[in-house]
Amino acid sequence: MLISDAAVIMNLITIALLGFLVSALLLSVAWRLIGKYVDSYSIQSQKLLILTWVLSPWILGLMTMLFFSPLFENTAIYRWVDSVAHWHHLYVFQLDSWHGVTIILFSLFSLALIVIRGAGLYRQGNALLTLNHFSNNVHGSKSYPGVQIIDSNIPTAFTSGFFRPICYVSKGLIDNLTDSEFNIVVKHELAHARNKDPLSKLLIAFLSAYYPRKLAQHFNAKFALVTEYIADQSTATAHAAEDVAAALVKVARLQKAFPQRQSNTSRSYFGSHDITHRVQQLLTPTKKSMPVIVPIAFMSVMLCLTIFAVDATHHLVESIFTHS
Amino acid sequence: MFLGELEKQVLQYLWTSPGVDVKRVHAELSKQRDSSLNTVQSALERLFKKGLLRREKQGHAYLYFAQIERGDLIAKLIDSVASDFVSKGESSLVAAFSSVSSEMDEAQLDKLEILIERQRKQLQKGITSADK
Repeated sequence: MLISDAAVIMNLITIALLGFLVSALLLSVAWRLIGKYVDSYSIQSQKLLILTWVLSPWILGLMTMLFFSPLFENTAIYRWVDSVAHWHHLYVFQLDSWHGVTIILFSLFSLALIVIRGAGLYRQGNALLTLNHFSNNVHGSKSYPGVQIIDSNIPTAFTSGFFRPICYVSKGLIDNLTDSEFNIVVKHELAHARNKDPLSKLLIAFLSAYYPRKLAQHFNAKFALVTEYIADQSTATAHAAEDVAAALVKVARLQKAFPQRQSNTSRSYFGSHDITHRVQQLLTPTKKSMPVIVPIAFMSVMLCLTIFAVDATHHLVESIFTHS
Repeated sequence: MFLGELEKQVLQYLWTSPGVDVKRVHAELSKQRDSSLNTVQSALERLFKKGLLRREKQGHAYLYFAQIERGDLIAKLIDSVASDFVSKGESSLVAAFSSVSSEMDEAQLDKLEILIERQRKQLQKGITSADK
């Protein structure tokens, strides 16, 4: 059993974790209720909402911890929080209690997540290096600064790399496109590279992994689509939106016409992702923007709910499992 | 599939000169890099175990041939870049876009094209009527 300083730290970590879990649960329910309305808002608002959702459990967990911590013991807000919700044993911590188990399980889950994702990223990095190695001497009829041409007849274009993303376009795609279409594909991929989309997708994948699996997949897919919208949008400043949309459909056709390989993975970020949505977004962009105050107000409510819920969960669980 | 630097060079060489023994591979690669015969031998062994090479015994030595075409290897690499983007088991992103592209049929693409054309015509009309 720990008493005093170490106990306070361990208790605060438990509070943060409880806050994290409770808010993730509340936010999951909230998304089920309001998620379907998100599509009608502008792309930027959609992006903001997804970011808010995946970041919030961390922020709310930390804020809950601050509210319960003795740091603000002498402030009015602490006294107010203390009157409605409190942690009744801040200075005593038992490792072999459900608090200790919560911390250990959370740490193990996070560690497993990092190891599994790390291994995947390492494999992917090697595949990219090998791809670069076999593509270095390719001189296509068209070239573009910042774009690596892949010597393959598979029609593909994608951007990869986390800190210095590189755009890849295959000869199989280039040979079937007009100059203007090629330009659209390249502009789209360069926009992904400029926005560091592979890195932000990775972060979202990591943060959303703490949500229920189905919701996590939904967040990832939605975020991926938003990055495509944004790349399409920045391509449509130099080209007519209809031309970008037509190029999208053409690439989709080329990819469909190419015999499917066994592994059945998609070959392009440009062309295969929710094409219908992207064409619609290009032709009639959603413009309704959400005032920033809405997510802020929503999160404040969430914070209050989390604080109460942490206290309630604590009392509820402790009436079932006692510490000793 | 994981390939080391030497393995890539060996494969590259075997695509242009199939049916050579370890000594020939070593002699060729030593023009580019400083690696011992043993190192080259174990690289060949690794590639063989990965199923990327096949070999035929001739006298005391093995002759090596690439088992995979250059184009097929590149196609495999493209696939693994796409599928490893989010690690397996949680391959949400990949699942989402591959399912969409396989569900997408010609009729849907035709519909989108009609939609685009209609918008183009409307814009054209708008421009010509503004000119008048």
